[in-house]
Order: sequence, then C-alpha cells, then structure tokens
Amino acid sequence: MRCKNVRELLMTDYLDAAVPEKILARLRRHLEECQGCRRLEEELRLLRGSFTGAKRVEPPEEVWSRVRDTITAHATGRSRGMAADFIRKILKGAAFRPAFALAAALLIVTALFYASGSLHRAGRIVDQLSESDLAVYLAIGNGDEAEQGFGTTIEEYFL
Amino acid sequence: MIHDISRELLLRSIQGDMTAFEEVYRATSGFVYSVALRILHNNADAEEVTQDVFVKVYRGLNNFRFKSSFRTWVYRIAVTTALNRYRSSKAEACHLADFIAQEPPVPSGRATPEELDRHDAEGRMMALLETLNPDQKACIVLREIEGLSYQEIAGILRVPVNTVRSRLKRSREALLAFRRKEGRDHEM
Repeated sequence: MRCKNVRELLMTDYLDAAVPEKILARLRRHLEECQGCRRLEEELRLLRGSFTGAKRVEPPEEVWSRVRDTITAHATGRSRGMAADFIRKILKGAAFRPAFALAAALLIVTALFYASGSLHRAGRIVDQLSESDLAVYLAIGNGDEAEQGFGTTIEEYFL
Repeated sequence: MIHDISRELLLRSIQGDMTAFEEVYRATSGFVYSVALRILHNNADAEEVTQDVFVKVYRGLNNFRFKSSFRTWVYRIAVTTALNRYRSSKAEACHLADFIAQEPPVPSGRATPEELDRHDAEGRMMALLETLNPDQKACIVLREIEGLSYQEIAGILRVPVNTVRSRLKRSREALLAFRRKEGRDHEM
C-alpha cells in the first residue's frame, strides 16, 4: 500500500472504523513498516481525544415553555385569522360575488328613490320659505357634498 | 446510532396532543441544542435555534409521511437552521466577539479537579471547532460528538456519503494543522 492511500484511509474510514477487513489487514501491515504513517495515526487518535469528553447538553427548561407558548399563540392566532380572512373575503366580495352585486344594486336603487323623493319634497318646501330662509337652505343643500354623490361608504365602494 | 420516535407518539402529536409533543421534544431537544451550541458557540443563539426548530417541527408534522426516520428529519431541520443562523450572522468579527464572550463559565473556587479538567477540555474543543468552516463543523460535530455514521450524516445533510468522507478528511487536516501550529507556539 502506498503512503498516500494509507493517509487517506487514516483520515477517514480507519478512524471511523469503517475499513473493510481485507484492506484493514494490509493497512496494519503498512503501519508496522512506516513510521510517518504511524505518527499520523497517533496524531489522529490524540485529536479524537479532544472530542471524547464532549457531552450532550440539554437546553434550559424555559426553551420548552417558549416552544409551547409559540405553538399555542400560533394556533389561537390562526383561528382568529381564519375568521378575519372570512370577513375580509366577504367585504371584498370575493365570496358570494353575484349576491353582493344584487344587494349593491338594490341599495343604489333604494338610495336613488329616497334621494329623488327628498329633492321633490325640498322643492315644495322651498316654495313655502322666505327669501332669507331660502338662502340659508341652499347654502346647506348645495355644498360640496352634493357633487360627491350620496356620501355613504357603501356607495363609494360600489360606484 | 439514531433510534426513532414511536409512530403512536407522533400521531398523537399530529392530532395536537401537547403532552405527546412534549415527549418528542424531550427525546430530541438535547441533540438539537447541543449541535446548535457547537455550531454557533453561543447559548442565546442555540436556544433560539432550538425554539425555532421545534416550532417548525410542530407545524411540519402534518406533512411528515413516515417514509424516512423522524429523528433524521428533526436533525436535518436542526443542522440546517443552525447553519443558516451561522451564515446570516453579519460579520465574522461579530462571531469572534461572541466566542470570547461565550467561553464556558469558569468553575468556582470550590471546583473539583475533574470539573476544571472538563472546563479546559470544553474550551480546547470549542477552539478547535472554530478553526473549521460551517459545513466542516457540522460534519465533525455529528461524527465526533454525536457519533453518527457516514450514512446517517449524509442523510441529515442531504449529501452523498463521499461528500461526508471528504468533508471529514479536510476537517481533520485543518484540525491537525491547527494543533501542530499550537504545539510549535507552545515550544517557542
């Protein structure tokens, strides 16, 4: 056996007791004859000794408490999150889209009906008002809000 | 040698039984914490990695199909999480500072000679590990400290057995070079 191959085996399989029996016998013969390779084997054994005292270390007890709390908080948050997701979907109209379109249309029609009724009533009232009252009334009724539509959030959303 | 967790215990954990999951934790957390500690060389980081690993394990239990060893799966998550944490550290200088700060606590004045020896040995071992790159460190920790076989290490690191062999060889070459240099420095 050549020193190069022996050193390769010493660094790996030999040290880890994974050399097949046949090769191991030849390797041992080489070690008896080669001082350089014997020295390397000794060095490797000493190196291994640096790790033999190392013990498995258990984590502090509070780590389990933190794991358990994180899992529990996540589970609670997930069930709350599921409810929030459902509400969000409803608001976005992602679920039941046709039903929402119908409801929106009904709302708009109802709002228009009441709005036209109130304008009509307002016209009749104007007839009965004095000029000064009329000026005050128009100032209130013809403000910016009249140009912004009906001013309800549901309409702002759908229109 | 990796001994696996019982299927029954895992099934109970999957169903949300925290007592069963605690048993799983008790059976595997020593490995997770030790490996993280040896890779990161910092108690606080090792604790965070352990916590992170078990939260990941719990959330991933539903997807565990019992086709491979559960312990190998947990160990893989542990090593990957620890290595990622190590790599995401902002600078090597930061790690050096941690290393100095995290020297094993010096035993008190009443410490026995055995305790003092153990403290010195732990310090020497950590100094040796610090000479390796993260992948080499993981290989050496799994082989020399945890005593796993090449096949088991390959399974955890998801690399071929020959890659494990070559990483161990390079690690040992680096460790021997460090020890020789140290020996020369002491002689001077």
